[in-house]
Amino acid sequence: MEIKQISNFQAIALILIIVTNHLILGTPRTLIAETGTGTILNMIYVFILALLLVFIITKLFSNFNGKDIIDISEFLGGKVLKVIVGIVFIIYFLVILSTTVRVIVQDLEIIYFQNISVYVLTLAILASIVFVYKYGSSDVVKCNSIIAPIVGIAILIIAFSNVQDFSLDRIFPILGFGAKETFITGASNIFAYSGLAILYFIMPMLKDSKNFKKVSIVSTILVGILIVGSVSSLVLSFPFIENINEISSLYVESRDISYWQVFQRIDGLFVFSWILALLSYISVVLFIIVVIFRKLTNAKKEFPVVLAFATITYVTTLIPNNIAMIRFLEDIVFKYTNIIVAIFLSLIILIFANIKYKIVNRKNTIINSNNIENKPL
Amino acid sequence: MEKQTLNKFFIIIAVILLLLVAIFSSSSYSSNIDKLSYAIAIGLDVGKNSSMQLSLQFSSTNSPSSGSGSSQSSEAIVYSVECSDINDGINLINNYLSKKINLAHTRVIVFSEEFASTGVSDVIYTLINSVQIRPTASIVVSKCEAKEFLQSASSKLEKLSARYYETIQNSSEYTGYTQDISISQFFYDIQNTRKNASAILGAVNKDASHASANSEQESGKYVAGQAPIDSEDPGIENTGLAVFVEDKLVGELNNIETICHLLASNNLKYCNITIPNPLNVSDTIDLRLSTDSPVKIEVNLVNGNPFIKLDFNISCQLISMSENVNYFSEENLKKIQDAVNVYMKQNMTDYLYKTAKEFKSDIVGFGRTAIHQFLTWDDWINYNWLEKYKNSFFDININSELKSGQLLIET
Repeated sequence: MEIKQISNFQAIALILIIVTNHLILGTPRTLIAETGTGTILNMIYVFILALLLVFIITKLFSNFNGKDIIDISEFLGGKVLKVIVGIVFIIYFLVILSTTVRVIVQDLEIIYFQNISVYVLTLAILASIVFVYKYGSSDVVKCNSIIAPIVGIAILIIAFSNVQDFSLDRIFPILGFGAKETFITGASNIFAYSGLAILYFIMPMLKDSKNFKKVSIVSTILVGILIVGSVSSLVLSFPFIENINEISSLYVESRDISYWQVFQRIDGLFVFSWILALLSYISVVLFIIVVIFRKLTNAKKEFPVVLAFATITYVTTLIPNNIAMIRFLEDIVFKYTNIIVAIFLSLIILIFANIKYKIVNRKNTIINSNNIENKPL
Repeated sequence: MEKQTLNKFFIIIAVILLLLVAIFSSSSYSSNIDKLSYAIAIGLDVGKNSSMQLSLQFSSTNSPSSGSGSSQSSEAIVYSVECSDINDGINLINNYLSKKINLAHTRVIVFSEEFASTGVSDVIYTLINSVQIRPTASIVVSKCEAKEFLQSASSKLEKLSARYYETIQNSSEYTGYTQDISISQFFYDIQNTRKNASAILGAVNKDASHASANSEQESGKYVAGQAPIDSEDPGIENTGLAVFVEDKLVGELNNIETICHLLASNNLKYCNITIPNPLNVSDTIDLRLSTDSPVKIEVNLVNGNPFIKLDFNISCQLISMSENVNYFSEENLKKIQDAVNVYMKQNMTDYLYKTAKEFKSDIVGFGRTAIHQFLTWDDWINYNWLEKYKNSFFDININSELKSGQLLIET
């Protein structure tokens, strides 16, 4: 089934679900570890960078109306580049999917399902997604547009429920580990916006591809609010301590939430919303993988492709056999894969494609003008 | 038809998977409430033969009092065991009880003074690492054995032990004699570079502890267990604070010092104090104190040492009254305000220099203000605030304002 009817809201929800899951995964912890008490300053700076980047991306896409990054790669380097870029993106999405699933399932096991093996939990989660795909990917997109806002709001509730514990003193020393670490090396914190990688694929799916710019800017602002909000609440609520490494920092924050004497230990509610978020996340990422795969292979049926990639995800999810490996995946592989593929590779392709577009256009203009000149009067 | 069959097939697979999860989840058996024992308090003493003696206080789930939840029974039982670490102890008691111990309802974690002075970080890290422990569980340092503290933790006024622990923490809000310190706050404070940790100071109030009273108590200064309360039902009393450097207990604060601590750290809701009556030297007057605005703290580094300036705005309400006196005349108001200023300044100075010179522990958290002067984390760490705090000197300014009395204005 081809998806060509995604509304602006559904498109934004696709991006939001990626980012919310990364926030649950522990992205705020990785961000704070990089820049310490300077994280809020760094986040504002990175938000501006992300907005600029998205603005550039929309500009670069403006010459390729209705195309995604795979089509643009084909334009730039023919079928070979199309296949290479397609495979790179499939691997990229599989890596972030497996890492996210493994880390969140591991956290769920620690928090609530201590007597259930990770193998069974992961199988149950992936099987449910495969089951959902029996009803087609359009339902996945619709379902996600309900879940993503709920999870986004839940994250903001967590962020601001501990407002009474906020202390502005915790943002000092204002430069954290130093100006260089906050503004130069800290720029690598832009990986937190990796959910925006969906933008590279979304244009052909939009009902009206003219709305691409609007969708891009609005999603970046919403993602920015979520990231800055959740990171700020962590920085302002807890003293920065260099040597503490916790599981999902949002979970640790949610444990402190209580409303009066009546509602205590309500972290379970948030964990429930995160399970929904994880299910939606897996289905969305699988959806994008399927879209890329079908572009590369012209596969007609969607379900067997989903089943195959779900199986690959299950196997790769179970590869890490200890917490050190999971942490390595989360802190290094996840971060740098996002930076390399979602930012650099895509930007390079877009820039070169635009150069080629201009050259081709200029040639066409010259040929056209020559033709006009050579036309017998 | 084929599609319908496939759908059925997938539904069957989904149901089988759900069943598998349920069957393989042994928690469905062991998490049954009948198989659990909820510990409402944990006590830790230095062991005689092992490194620690763990005491757990349970409320019996078999005989809940009417209208109470499972963790709020009138029957509290304390089990103790000598063990090498906290999980080892829990396992031993688990085995003895044949019920799975659950710490989800633990409200208080009690260390004996002796145990706390050897360092509590291992225990705190282990407990904070547990998913079950609530971050809001209170930390108490007991002047008696932790086991004795737990055994005495009930009152005729509040039979439910779990609720009793809740009420005694709340009392700090209207007495100012202690401060509720949670395990999460304590955990962060023992590693914090801006402040040191403190904990509730508790003891069993009994005749023997009254006997240890000294001359200070003539001026109404007590630590936990020393208040001369005559009761047929000796219970626990939380008065004062236990002061830590890193994870080790280094000293204790009495009730008046705790009021000063709460004032300096902006945590005082209100409290009552008794000061010498400036209008009659042989008499005293009682005032209810609260703060008009947060204390203004300024930290400057003078020759590398902290110079800390504190500006307090205190609001007073006169709660005692004498015969034939008008406390609210212009002249008397000023005299009372001056007396409050002198009394509070003296106590505040004693308290602050005690924390700096005697304890070398910044439990107020002046480091949170001092850190504003540093641009980078390395500068801050190299300065080593907690080490430098002992060289601090203070300038204290108290502005009190007597706002009102209660029902009587003049007699």
